[in-house]
Amino acid sequence: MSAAWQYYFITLLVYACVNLIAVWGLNLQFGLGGILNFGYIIFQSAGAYVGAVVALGPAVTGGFQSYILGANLPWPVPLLAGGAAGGLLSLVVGVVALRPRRIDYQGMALLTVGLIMTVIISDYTGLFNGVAGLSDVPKPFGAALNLGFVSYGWFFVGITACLTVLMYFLVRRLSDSPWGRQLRALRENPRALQGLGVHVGSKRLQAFVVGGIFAGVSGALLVEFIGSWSPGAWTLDETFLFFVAVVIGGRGNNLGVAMGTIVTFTVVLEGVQYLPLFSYTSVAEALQIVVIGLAFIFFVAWKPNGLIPERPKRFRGREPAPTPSFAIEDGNPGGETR
Amino acid sequence: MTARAPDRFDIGRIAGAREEVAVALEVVDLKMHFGGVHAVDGASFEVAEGVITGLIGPNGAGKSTVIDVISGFLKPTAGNVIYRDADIAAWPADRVAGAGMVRTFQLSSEFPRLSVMENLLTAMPALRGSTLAGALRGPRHWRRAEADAVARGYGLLERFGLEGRADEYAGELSGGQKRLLEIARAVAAGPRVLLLDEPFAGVNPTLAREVESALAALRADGLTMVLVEHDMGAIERLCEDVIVMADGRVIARGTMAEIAANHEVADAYLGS
Repeated sequence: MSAAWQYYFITLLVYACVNLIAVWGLNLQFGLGGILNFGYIIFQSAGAYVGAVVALGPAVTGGFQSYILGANLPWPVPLLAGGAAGGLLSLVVGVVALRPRRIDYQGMALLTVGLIMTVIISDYTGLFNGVAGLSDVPKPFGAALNLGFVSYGWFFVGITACLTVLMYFLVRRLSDSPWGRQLRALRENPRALQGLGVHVGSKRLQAFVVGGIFAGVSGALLVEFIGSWSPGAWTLDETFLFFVAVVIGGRGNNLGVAMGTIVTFTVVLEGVQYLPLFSYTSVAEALQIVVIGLAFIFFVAWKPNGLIPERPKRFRGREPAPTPSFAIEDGNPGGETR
Repeated sequence: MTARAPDRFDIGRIAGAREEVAVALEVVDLKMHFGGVHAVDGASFEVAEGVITGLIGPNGAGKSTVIDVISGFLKPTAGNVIYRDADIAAWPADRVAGAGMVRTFQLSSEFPRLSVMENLLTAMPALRGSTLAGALRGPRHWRRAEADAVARGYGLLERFGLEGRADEYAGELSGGQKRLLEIARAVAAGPRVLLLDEPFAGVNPTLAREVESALAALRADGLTMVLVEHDMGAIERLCEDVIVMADGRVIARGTMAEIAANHEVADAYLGS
């Protein structure tokens, strides 16, 4: 296989893994928690920018790019910093944007935050070099390994795959737990959940922050691969595609949304490019959004639970407890606060 | 503020009985105004421990608003709700429920895409793994506690006639079964006081009898309940003590027989 084809597959695999991590984060927020985070891409970008600047080294006065927090930290610190940036930004944004009780208002607030962030990052060059963005982001172990272009690409695929598996086990651990079950209850009926003693605002914010960490990690990983990041890389279209992946795959089901991610980003978006050229040169790009948009509408209207629907956990083979007690016992042996 | 501890009161003055019973809940001069609308306008009453107190009245009397205020879903314009030596009038709903006062809703409020058993587990107080830190510690941290909770959940399902439905989506139950599930879920939360907002609404007669049996069984266990209901037959069969509201105020209190003989109550219902 030629080097060009190999690098093409390397790129596909890395992007697939990055998108998987990002979509699992959105699935925690939207799929389980019911949060309409229409500004999701800004949390991925926060991770990408912070991951980049802590690896780029201090900014050079009069250099071709200016940015804050310049440092030369070893891998995997930039990745962790990216996750922390996504989580921290989620915390700050979430405290305000998740205040409305109605989820549609929350979604509008988050969309607005996304638009404001885009303007700030683009216009204030002192932060992350404005519209031109950051470039020359060093690759993890790039200098130490001294590998060829393609060999290093496969090495990066290995790193990415390991991280993706790790993130999958993390998201599964969370979503399969009683905490994850409460998130699904929150999605279904927040008022009823509150009436059972659960602080729904806190629970929603937790889901939002954890999802933000996933977004941040995915951004930091991607910027290490492509080496650059600018406002043009994070548009509302990207957030829409993440939502499409969740809806097509099966909201709330981590394996389902993984399939949705592969279908959306790899099969449809890439597949359309292989259609024979029958019109103007950018027809493939235009078709991508048409095909994805139609698929989204189809699933929302006719198959809202997606390709692999979320399934309730089964509990079998348990004997009933003798007589349930209606009294609350003082203290909380072995329990946790809600 | 310093709350007045609910003391014991003579249930005889309200229900014809002779013994003194403890007060589980006391509502003092409660007002809930929405702009110019006085939904609750100075309601005061006590709820005796271990019995079902009926809260009745014509539409718009303020019954459900009282339940919303007591359960923390509405902050009152004025007045106090004394529960376990504290004024809980300003507490949010989750804190009220956490303190043991749990409610059901007028409209079915199951979690439809969760199974029946998952609905119950969601209500179990402070189950291990329900915090983010607990979830991160993994299944080994919470599996045993969940197994115990599941066993308790099966016991509740059996008691409420929902055995065999544990793994079904709650949204696929019939209207009456949803009511039963909602009451079972509230019981799973381990309440000291259960507030029931029209549990018979929209339930067919057969299942209504099951709901009534379930409530009678809970009463036999000594659970304190407040029942808002329009079905006077059910109120008569279940409630030792009945409070009548009209225009946001308490206009009468007593046994159902006493209430039926009260002219002010008849006027309120008939509008004469």
